[in-house]
Amino acid sequence: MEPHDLIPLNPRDYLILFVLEAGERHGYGIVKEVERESGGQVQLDPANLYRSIKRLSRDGLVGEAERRPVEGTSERRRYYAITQFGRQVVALEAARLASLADAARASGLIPEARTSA
Amino acid sequence: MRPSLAERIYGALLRLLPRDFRDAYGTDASELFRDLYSRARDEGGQAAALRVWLRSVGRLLVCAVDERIDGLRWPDRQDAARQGAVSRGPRRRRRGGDVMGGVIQDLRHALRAFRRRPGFTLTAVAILAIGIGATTTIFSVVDTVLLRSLPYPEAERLVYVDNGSHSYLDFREWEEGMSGFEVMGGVWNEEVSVTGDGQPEKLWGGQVTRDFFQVLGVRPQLGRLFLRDDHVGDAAVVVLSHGLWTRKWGSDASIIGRRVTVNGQPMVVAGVVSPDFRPAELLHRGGAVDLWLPLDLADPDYQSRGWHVLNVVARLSAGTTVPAAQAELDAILDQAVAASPDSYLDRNGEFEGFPLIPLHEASVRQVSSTLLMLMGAVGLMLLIACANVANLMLARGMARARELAVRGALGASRRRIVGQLLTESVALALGGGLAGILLAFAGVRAFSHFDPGGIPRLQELSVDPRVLGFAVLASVATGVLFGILPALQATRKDASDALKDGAASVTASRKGRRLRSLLVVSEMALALVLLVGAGLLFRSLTERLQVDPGFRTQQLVTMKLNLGPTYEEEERVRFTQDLMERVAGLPGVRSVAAGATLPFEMSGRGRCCWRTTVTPLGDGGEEIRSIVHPVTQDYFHTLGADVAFGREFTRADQVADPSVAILNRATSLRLFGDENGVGRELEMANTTLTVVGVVDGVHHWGLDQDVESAVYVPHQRFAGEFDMMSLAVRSETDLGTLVPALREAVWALQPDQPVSGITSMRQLVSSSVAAPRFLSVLLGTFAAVALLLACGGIYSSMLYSVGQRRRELGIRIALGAERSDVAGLVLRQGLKLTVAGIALGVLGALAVSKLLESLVWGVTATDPLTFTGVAGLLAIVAVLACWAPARRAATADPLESLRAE
Repeated sequence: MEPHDLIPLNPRDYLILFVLEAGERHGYGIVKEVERESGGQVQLDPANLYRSIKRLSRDGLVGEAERRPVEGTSERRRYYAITQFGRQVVALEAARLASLADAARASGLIPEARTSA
Repeated sequence: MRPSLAERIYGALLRLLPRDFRDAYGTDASELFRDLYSRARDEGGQAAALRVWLRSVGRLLVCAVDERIDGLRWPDRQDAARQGAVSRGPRRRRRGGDVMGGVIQDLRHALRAFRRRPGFTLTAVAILAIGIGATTTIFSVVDTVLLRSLPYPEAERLVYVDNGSHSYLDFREWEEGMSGFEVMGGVWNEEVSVTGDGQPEKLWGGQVTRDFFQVLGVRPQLGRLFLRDDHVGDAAVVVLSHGLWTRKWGSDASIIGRRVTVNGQPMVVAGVVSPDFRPAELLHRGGAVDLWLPLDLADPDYQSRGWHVLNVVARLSAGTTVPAAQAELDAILDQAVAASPDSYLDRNGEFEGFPLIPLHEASVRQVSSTLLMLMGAVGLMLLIACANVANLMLARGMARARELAVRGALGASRRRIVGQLLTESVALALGGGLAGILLAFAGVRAFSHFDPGGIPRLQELSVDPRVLGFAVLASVATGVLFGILPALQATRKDASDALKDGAASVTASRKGRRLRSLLVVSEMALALVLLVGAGLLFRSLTERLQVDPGFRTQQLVTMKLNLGPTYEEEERVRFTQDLMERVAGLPGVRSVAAGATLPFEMSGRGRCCWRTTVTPLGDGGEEIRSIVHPVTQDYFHTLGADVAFGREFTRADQVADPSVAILNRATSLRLFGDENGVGRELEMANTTLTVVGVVDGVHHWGLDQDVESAVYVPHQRFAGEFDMMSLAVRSETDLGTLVPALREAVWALQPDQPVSGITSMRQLVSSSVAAPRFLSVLLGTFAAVALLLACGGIYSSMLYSVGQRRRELGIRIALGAERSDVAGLVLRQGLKLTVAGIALGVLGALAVSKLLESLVWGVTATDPLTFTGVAGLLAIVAVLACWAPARRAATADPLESLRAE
């Protein structure tokens, strides 16, 4: 399967991959990060989070992290990490979203992004 | 830390997810939920926590459904992926055992197949829904009325003393003499007027003997029931029904000890019975009872053996059987009858005995044959639906012949494929059953709404778990029934010929055609049986409606009053005459009369009021027992009944010389051997009366009841002891304006007199045939649906067969056959099936006509007109149904066929 086959990504999957890109996280971490990144708009519930993870794992975009970030804790929680393939897919999706955003700006649908100094 | 309730619920709901998903992520999901939930509660309080809980649960449910659907679809993809390598090794075994796995796999197949053929699926589901819905509705009635035991403790020990009401003296003798009865109760139902609080009201009161409540295990909701002392002397206490207490006093608990005025007597409310208590229809008139009063058996007024008013129920002693108790009762009765034979003789001068019948059996005997007939009718309808769907499945099985043959070639056993096809049909039937249950909810409501009367316990009717269980069982049975033939057919050995294309498997299709024809013929036959049943009931109804009641029912209004014990005898008579005078003065009133009862006030087999022995004086004729009607002057004129000889009563008869009587023709003939008995004398109730008139005969008890012997006597002289009085008013004014005027007229004379039953005579006549009309409409509906299904069956079957034979038909046309010939070919084929169906159906209908005998009236159950009529109807509709397939056959394209060859 090529990265292109999975584009466009479902927005929820995109956000999950996006926050995993920043580092390995457990379920709770993903939910909180996604909520923060989406400005509070996307609030994942446990069932659907793991449904996404199941699908992303099946397609090889995420995997379980080998090590637990905090050694020696009694936590049984699993941490998830993005795979190399997942990185390619999320980058491709980000590029697609960016080009869509550019087109929207060009047509005046949304204001120009301020260029940072 | 113990998980909170919210967590436990969420954890439980996680079980809805498919097992593999739960195994992989269940623990994580539940821990994550706990984190989210407790964090929300810490940060945002209970409201925030509740929001998280609601959102998580809601989405979990959606997710579970999605996952399960994925689970059904996924193997598709796997199969698709493996399609390149068909020659996979041994069959894939699934976790959970081969059988369950097989069923689940079959189910997936079935659901996929249904999705591919939405038209077929919807049609089949709709047909099954109608069949199962109707069957479930009628079953719930049968279950409530016939199968469920009565709602009293140890109801199987309750027996009813049959053959009408009984006298107090009898009751007391049985109570003392019967060791087979543990306890006995009697009730006398009377209309009572309750005055004081608000408008005067006419209510049903049950005067009960000491142990009546104990027999039925009645408990009070408030206060107490009757005590022993209440039944001695003039204890003025009353017990209210839960319904009356709620309606009239708004469930006010302070009702206990309050005074109410019943029949003019101040009474104290002692208690209210529990709402669980459902009065037995048989003991109280149709279950209508609003309050109970204690009855004193020692009261001298009641010491007459001829005063038959008590409905009697008893609880058998432990270990006693009905025959044993009956023998004991018969022995007591033998003595009583020997001592005073007159008190026990019926209309024909015979004593029929008082059979003991279990209360449940006695309650339902009037309706059980009707209900079983209806159950049979819906059963037939369901069979037709089955045959119909089986036919659809057959046609579809042909279309799938290749698919099945491939499966067979790949190693699936016949058993396995039949299993798969059966799973499909059961799944289809369950879908139909689900829709049918929804229909049954509506059907049950409609049934109670159109309550034809006389069916006990209809208010208990509901779609309960038992009924649901029945619906599911019926669905599964239906699925197997309509699935098995097509499945076996589709997996016949020669069906594998389907692989050898082109040859189009001539043998298989011929056998299929034969099976399809068989199904069509049986549908036609079953539909004919239903149509005959409906036709007979319809004819019974129209026969009744054609009966001349013997008077003019138009522009006639009746008002029924109960002049209870507050009136002295002379007061009743005076009140009646005063009221007639007042009403005669109302605008638009042309004439007015009164009688103890009016025609159609009571209809059916029961007889009421005054029956006595009438002896002719002088030559000829015989002594008869007859019903006596006290009536006022102008009675026949107001009713619009013809006086054949002599005259009717005048005001003068009522006052000056009340020793006169009027007979109907039949009575005159029996008494005097002459229809014109004017001038003759007769003796009844120790009085000699001179016949002054003979009338043609009025149907008093219903259109379907013969005109019986009737002696009319002057109201003024004889009606004093009757507390019932009905007014007949012939008026040009419409009912709407007349009702308030009549009420005012009554209240002007007697402000405390309850007035309720004002209705037109046409309405009374119409209600008297409510039950046959209801039955006729219901069975008519079933029969119409059956006709529709059967004709749909022949239509689709012919259409299919034309589709199959299109090539052949095209060749015929190419060889020079006229298009009309080809169409005729198809029509003839349809007609052949129809005629076979009708012939079989007539035999079937003749076979079941015995069962209908008790329900038809005025026609025989083998009425030739009905039989030929419905057979003709069925034939015409069936030929019409074949019209479109025939036209289609006529348009077969010869070129297409030649090219294909």
